[in-house]
Amino acid sequence: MKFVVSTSNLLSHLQLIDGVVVSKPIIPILENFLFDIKGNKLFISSTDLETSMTTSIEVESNEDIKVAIPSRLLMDTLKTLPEQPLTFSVDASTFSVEIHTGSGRYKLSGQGGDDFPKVPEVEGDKSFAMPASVLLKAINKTVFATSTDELRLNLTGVYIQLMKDQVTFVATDANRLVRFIRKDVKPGVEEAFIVPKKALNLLKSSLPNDDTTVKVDFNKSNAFFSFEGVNLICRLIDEKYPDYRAVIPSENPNKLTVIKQSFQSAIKRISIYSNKTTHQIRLKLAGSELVISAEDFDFANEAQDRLSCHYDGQDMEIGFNSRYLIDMLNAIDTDDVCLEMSQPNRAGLMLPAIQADNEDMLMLVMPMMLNNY
Amino acid sequence: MIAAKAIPEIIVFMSDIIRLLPEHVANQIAAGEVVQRPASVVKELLDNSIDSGATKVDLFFKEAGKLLIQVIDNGKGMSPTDARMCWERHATSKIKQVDDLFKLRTMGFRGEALASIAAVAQVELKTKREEDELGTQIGIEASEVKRQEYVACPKGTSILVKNLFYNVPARRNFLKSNPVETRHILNESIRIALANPQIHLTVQHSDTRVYDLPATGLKGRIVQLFEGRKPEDLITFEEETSMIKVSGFVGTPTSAKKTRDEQFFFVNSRFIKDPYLHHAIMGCYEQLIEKEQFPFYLVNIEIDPREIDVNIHPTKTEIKFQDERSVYLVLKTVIKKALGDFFTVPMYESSAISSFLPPAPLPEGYVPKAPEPKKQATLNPLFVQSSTYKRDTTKGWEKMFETRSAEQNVLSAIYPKEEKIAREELGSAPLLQLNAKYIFATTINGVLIINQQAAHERILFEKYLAAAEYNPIASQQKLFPRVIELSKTDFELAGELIPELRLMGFDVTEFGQHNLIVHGMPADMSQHNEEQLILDILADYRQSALEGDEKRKENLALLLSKRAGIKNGTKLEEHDMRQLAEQLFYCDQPTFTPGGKRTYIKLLADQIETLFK
Ligand SMILES: Nc1ncnc2c1ncn2[C@@H]1O[C@H](COP(=O)(O)OP(=O)(O)OP(=O)(O)O)[C@@H](O)[C@H]1O
Ligand SMILES: [Mg+2]
Repeated sequence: MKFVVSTSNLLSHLQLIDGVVVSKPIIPILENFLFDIKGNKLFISSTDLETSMTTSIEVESNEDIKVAIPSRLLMDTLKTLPEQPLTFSVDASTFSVEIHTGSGRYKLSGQGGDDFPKVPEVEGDKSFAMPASVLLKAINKTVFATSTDELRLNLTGVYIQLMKDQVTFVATDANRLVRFIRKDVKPGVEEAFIVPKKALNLLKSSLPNDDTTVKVDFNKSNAFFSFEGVNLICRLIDEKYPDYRAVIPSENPNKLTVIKQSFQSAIKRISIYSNKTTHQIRLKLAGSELVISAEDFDFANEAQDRLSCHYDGQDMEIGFNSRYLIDMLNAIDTDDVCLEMSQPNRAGLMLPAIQADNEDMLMLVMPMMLNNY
Repeated sequence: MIAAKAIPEIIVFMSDIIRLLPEHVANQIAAGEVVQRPASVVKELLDNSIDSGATKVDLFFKEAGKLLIQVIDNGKGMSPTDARMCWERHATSKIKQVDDLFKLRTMGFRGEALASIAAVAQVELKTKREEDELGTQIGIEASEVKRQEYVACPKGTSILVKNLFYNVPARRNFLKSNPVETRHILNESIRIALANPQIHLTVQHSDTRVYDLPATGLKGRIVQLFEGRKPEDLITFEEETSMIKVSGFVGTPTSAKKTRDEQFFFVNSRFIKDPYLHHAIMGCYEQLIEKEQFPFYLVNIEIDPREIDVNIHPTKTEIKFQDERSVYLVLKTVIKKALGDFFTVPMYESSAISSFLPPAPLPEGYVPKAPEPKKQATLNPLFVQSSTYKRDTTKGWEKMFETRSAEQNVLSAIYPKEEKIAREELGSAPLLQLNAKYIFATTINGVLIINQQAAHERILFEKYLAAAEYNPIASQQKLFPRVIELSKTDFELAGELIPELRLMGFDVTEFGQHNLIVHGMPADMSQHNEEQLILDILADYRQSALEGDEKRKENLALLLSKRAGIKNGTKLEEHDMRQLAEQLFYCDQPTFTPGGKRTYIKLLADQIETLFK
């Protein structure tokens, strides 16, 4: 059995789905791509059992076949080959794969494609669509705030809440939270599910940043994202998401507005002097002055710096993990950023100075306290 | 009270064995309070059962013994007269004259215990001898005999003690909480179980079977009793001189613990406390474990009763040796030898690299003897080529002995004593991780091998301790505060701990009757199930509180460092390894974990040279 495909065409498709493949998987065959030829279409899939991706290419072929090809070996080969047509020939009984280039021959040992786990089909209950750029933005704004704690599975993904006329993305690791609302996406259904971080990161690297339509089908256990011939299917996190609305404070009388750029670089600088394990910095607000300070008792290091700001509220001092602030500031696109607070032991809200069209972006960070205050 | 005058009128048959001690003998006996708490009753009853020659003894108690204590044995039982007689003061079958005090082979000798118990409780005795058709049942309340009748019962004795101190409210109020009293009872049972492994002992607290210990050997009994004590952690020893015989087990230094409740001396099967002899043993461990560490030991001393005096304290937990100094010396020599022997073995049997990582350094001043011939076969080929090695010549012996010493020099050098490695010494070369467990760092003149789990334990211990004393840890507030439901005892315990917990970064407050709310967790602690962690801390703390360990802060810091640290098996990024290494050498005592395990070893370049010779 033979088919012909160009180096760059194949490589670009493989790169879309390569991120799914884990090294040293429990089931060895998962280290492979599945090449499935049906008529003149080559479907290539990868899976780690939780998440699977499939892409397809038009090829010329004389026969249908399913073969699993070692992903690393294939990728490494393709990356070094100059652009040219490649002829793949697969031995239907041994599943050995030969790639013929203009000048050479590369032989890889494949495996029968029937041993490759079945990629689940969506029995799509419900579906909605959104532009790829919007989904990409939503992922970029939220996924960093998910938890890595395997003991809190529900927090390791992004909670997507569909309403008739808007969609809300929520991520939290119990210390901070991001809520990103798009009002121009109108799912028409009321539903919510948790998409694992890994699937979102894969989407992040394969979604085009334009208005290509992404169709999202989902049922109780899986979600299915499809765009431009690429499909990603992932198992949803079957856990209850905490009631995030209850923790977003409504009264935050102390409002700080500051230039994002200078705020962020001051925090980065001061945090060098913070405790190596807690990364605690302190914000002291009085009048229209913001003093950022940090100290590391272990090494007797300390630093403080002043920033001019716009502050409306009572004088106060509050501590935060500098890393959280830096991450969150990265997600702010406006020149100015607002931080709204109430008390040193209550959540601080971080907001862009102006919300973008059709968007509502809110971030929340819990303070860090010394209990002997 | 039973009228004292009535006693002589009781007709004494030959088969009755309990006699009243003559006054001048009774006066010789250390007077004092026998029954202080439920555990004292347990001890006295169990002692009596042991003396009765029983092979099976069952202890049952309720409400920490405050409500009920019962001991049933299959020993020799008592005649009807003795069953009555035994409740009298100075009534005993175990001694007759003052001289007997110095020939004691029994646990009891004062004839005090049962009388003291009967004075402060409601007691029920059933007893039958092998030869009797029927047994005797007697009921006594506050020393007053209420009932005596014949009863059908099995051979042996059953004594039931109800409502201890019911007639002495002052005493009753003085008792500690149930968990504490229970711990005391279990401690007594453990001691008796250890002194008598040949006896099948069961212990039941209300509905819970705490111990079921079938007859076994001493090692078997230790393993039965102490979860987590593995046979391979126990080093046996035995030595007999004309004066005494000492035998038993000591724990390997690595298995030493933070608490001293697994240390036992028995003299002629009697549990005793002896700070002087304790010192002898701790001396043997000097270089092997850290200051606040306690190794396991169980020392059985068999000595001519004439050489000791048991009659110096009413609870009999102190004795006097005629020649204490000699006992001290014998013990010290024997245990030093046992520890030394133990450590010579693995060095010959292990492979090249592990011979550099024995469980602990050799005791200082320990001079190794030439090894036994049978060990030669497994001699490490790295040091002596087995092809050139001649098995049967004395030359081979000496050669091996030399190799042994060279190796030992290397060993003693790689275990830094008090020397502290400067953080600067770490250098900038990349750190390597082996088996997700050891971190290798090159220094200017050698290699450091750090055990990641042990190192982190040490770091955290010092950090939490510092937190409780002067450098509190910031608390990362949580979006979703956790409510933890606690049992009543745990809730009380938590109440005691809250101030320290807060300083260590746990922002917890009490809530309702038995709940805790966790608002924040130590900022440097990532990924933790706060609920589980706090429950674990309380459980651990409950344990150590019972053991009477007063050092709350140390305790808490220790528990946390164990629970919250990086575990072996965790892959670390270079950056984390470096941070760990730097923090370790910033510690006050970087060499050991608070639990006494090595945190790192150092291999100097010239020591490595020696290895290649
Ligand atoms: N379980 C038992 N089986 C058989 N005889 C017993 C038992 N318990 C007590 N006795 C008899 O009762 C006597 C009195 O017991 P008691 O415990 O009061 O005194 P003791 O054991 O002789 O001395 P001490 O006060 O030091 O314990 C004993 O000497 C023994 O003869
Ligand atoms: Mg007795």
